Parts: sequence; structure tokens; C-alpha cells
Amino acid sequence: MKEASTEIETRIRAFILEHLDPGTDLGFEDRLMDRGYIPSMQLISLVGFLEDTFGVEIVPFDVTPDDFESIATIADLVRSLRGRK
Amino acid sequence: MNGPTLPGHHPSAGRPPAGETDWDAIFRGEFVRRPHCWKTCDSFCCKPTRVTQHFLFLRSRGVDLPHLPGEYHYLETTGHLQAGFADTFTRHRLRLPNGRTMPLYRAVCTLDGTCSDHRYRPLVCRVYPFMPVPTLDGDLERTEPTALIDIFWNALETSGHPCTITEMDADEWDAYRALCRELFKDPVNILYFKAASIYKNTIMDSVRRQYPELLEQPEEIFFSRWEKLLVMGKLYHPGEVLEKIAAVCDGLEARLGRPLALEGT
Repeated sequence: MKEASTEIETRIRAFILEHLDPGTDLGFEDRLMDRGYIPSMQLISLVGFLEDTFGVEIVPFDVTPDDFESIATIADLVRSLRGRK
Repeated sequence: MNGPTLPGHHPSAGRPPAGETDWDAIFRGEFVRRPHCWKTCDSFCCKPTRVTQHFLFLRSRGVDLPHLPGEYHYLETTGHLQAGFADTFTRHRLRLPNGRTMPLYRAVCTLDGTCSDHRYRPLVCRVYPFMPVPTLDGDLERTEPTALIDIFWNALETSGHPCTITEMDADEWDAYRALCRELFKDPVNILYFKAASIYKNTIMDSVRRQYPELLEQPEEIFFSRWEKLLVMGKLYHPGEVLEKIAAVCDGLEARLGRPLALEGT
């Protein structure tokens, strides 16, 4: 069954809130990189979570910081990678 | 840049020191005394834009400066945190698989070599470019390049490291070693320095094993690709690194016969 459009966003948001300690509430469109929510060490954890949870492979040379700008763009990246499979 | 050969090794009796580090003594001393070296390298260690300009995810300006917990508290309580980055400190917790927790204090320095109080510049700056790697007993086992990016320069076939400090004389090493003895009186400091070495060398080994062709690339291509591999988690598994650090922690605690005094554990 295909996940509802916000299901991916919701799971990503839950991971960030639980593991990356943003210290505040977080909307789907909030900018993550600019607000310092994702230090490099924690980006590694997030990428691992995305690959394990959504069954995608993130190829380092195919992504840019824009893909990690917000929960919404990360979810778009996941959907895009799923569409390639 | 390799760690140099260290003259005159004097190992301790086989148990790690269980004292406290005299931070006044650390900050009175100089591990590496080269007051004008910045003129020869355009302040590379303070301003490594030659490398960071190629980064997209990692900071392209400024230097991440980890502080030991004891160092941070000393500088804070004595009012000597650098004015230029005192408000940039973040504190994260590294949770080890053995249940212990290592707090990580990190500042971001964008002073480009103009410390507000050079006498109290951070420890990681004071030891540059020779980061000490201690044994579990607190002896100086070797030195290695200080920053994560530094460890790759010697392996790169196309570039030499910009730092011009490649060696020290015997007297300088004696002074360096004396300060290391003070630093490693506190076994918590041993743990942090060994952890830093584990982290860097795990990543180095991974590049050599998985991406040896990268090391043949010009530095701008190497560091732009290396950055993406690093932040996308392709160069190490955090769990494996944490296991290795936990093993060091367990080893230190077994020698001490008590838990290390780690904040938040």
C-alpha cells in the first residue's frame, strides 16, 4: 500500500525530533540546514534512517544540500528515489 | 604530513594516571611554539578555506573546535573563552554502547587567526599540527595530524600539506611531552584523544579501502567528493566507531578499577 503523502514527512519529522534534538517544534517546510538542525555528524544518522526506513539508497554524488533543506524536500527526495526503483 | 619520530620515550609503570589535569599549567605552556608560522602558510590551520571552499554540506568558512569537557569548564569558569566564538558553543552527547556518555563541546571559530586572547586559544589549536595519541597508561604513544582533513594530505598524491611545521627539536619535544603528561593525568582526557584518533583513522582506512582512486585526484576534487561521502555516511558506521571508543573506555575503567568521571553518565 502506498503511504499517504504526509506519512513520509511525519516519520522523518519524528526521527529528527527524537534523535537530532532540534530543541523546538518543527514544521514540514522549516529550513533545517540554515537553522543548524542538522550538523554533519547527525546528517549521517538521518541518511541511515532514510535508507533503512524507506528502502532507498542515497548516492552521495547525486544529492545536494537543497535535498535536505526541509522535511518536505527530504520527503521529496525519498519519493524520487523510490520512483527510480 | 606524518607524525614525526618522537625522541626519548619514557613509559609509565602500567596503570593510567588517575589525577586531575592542572589546566593552569596547560594554558601557561606551549605544546608547539611557532609564534610567526602563520606568515608561511596564510594561517591555514585557522583559515582552511583552501579545502573548505569545496564543501557544500560542511561549513565552508570557520573551523570546528572541539573542547575537552575539563578544558571547556576551565575556560568558562576563569572567563577565558574566546570572545569571538564563546557564543557558538554546542553541547552534544555521544552515547557509547557500554552505557557511558561523552559530552562533546564544540565551538565554531571564524576569527581567521585573530584570537581575542591568544594565551587561551583552545587545546586543539595549541597542539597543532601534532595531535598527541596517548596509550591507556597516559604515555605519549605517537602524534598524528590534528584535524580530520589533515590526515588525508599525506595520502593525496597530488598535494603537499600547507603547514610548514614538520618537525621540532629535542628540547621542544621535551616541553611537548611534559605538557602531555599533565594533560593525560586525567584519564578522561586519554579517552577523548584516543576517540579522536579512532574516528579519524577509521575514515582514513575506509577511503583507502573503498575509494583508493580518490586519493589520486587533485585536492579540489578529492575534498568535494570526500565531503559528500562523509556526510552521507559512506565512510564509516557510527556504531562501529562507538564500539571502538567504548572498548577504550572499558579498558581505562578496568585499569582504574572504577568508572571514568564522565559528565552525564
